[in-house]
Amino acid sequence: MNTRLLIVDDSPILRMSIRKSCIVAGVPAANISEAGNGKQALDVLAAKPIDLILLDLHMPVMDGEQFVQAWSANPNWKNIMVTVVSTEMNQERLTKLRSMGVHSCLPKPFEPEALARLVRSDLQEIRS
Amino acid sequence: MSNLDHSVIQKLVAVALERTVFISTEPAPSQLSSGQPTYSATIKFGGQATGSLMLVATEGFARQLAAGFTCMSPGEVDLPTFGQDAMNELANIVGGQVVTALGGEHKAIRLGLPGRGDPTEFTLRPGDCITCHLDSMGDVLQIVYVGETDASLAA
Repeated sequence: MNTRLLIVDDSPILRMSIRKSCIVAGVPAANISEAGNGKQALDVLAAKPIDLILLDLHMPVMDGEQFVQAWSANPNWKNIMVTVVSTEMNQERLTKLRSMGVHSCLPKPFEPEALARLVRSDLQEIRS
Repeated sequence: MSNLDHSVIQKLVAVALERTVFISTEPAPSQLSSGQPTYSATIKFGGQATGSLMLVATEGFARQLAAGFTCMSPGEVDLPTFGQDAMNELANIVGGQVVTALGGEHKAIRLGLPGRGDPTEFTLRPGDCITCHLDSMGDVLQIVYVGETDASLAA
């Protein structure tokens, strides 16, 4: 499986936890990149190909909503799938993000296995 | 306006702990012992509802929490590296739960970023706080919530 995945979250410990769920889902550790905020995530996208992004919304420097605006404005990134993993439950904000191209949302708190299932499902969709 | 009481907050935190890091807890009547090493984190929210939340954990509880996030055994956890980050993430998760419980799905309520807690901020007006405790294998987590009746803390 050559899918390349990017975890965007300001919490190093949560990135570590998400990374483990992604490995359980079948993503090789070497294919997983990390970013601590939206700006760092944009730098990663500019530097290497990515297929799936797991995105937190509440982050310093550049938050998830700002990142989605920048990502959706770049036609070179239109094939990247973005899934939001966040405590954000406001339906208006989530609807706005979906209208900008966000694929799905997993609310925190989540069970690690639920995240692994979601990643497996996203990867299957990317490959099909 | 606040539909949150002691038992609701206690349950929100217990569910978040069990679901995210597989820590089972029991309501604990006990207070944290003064002088005990602790880790703390606060998070604030504002908008159509305003409030603050502070979590204070004994060192043992912070170790269990960090172990849960990192999938390590508690003895393997490097607490200086992961303890504060684990507390911040728990504050973020519980803050999101509180905002949702206050109607955040349909109200404009913005959750802030978590940070290291300052316990003195919450002891200034103890009568306005909801305080509860959870116990996991003798390790204690204290939760302090201040709703919008004390907007000065969330400014």
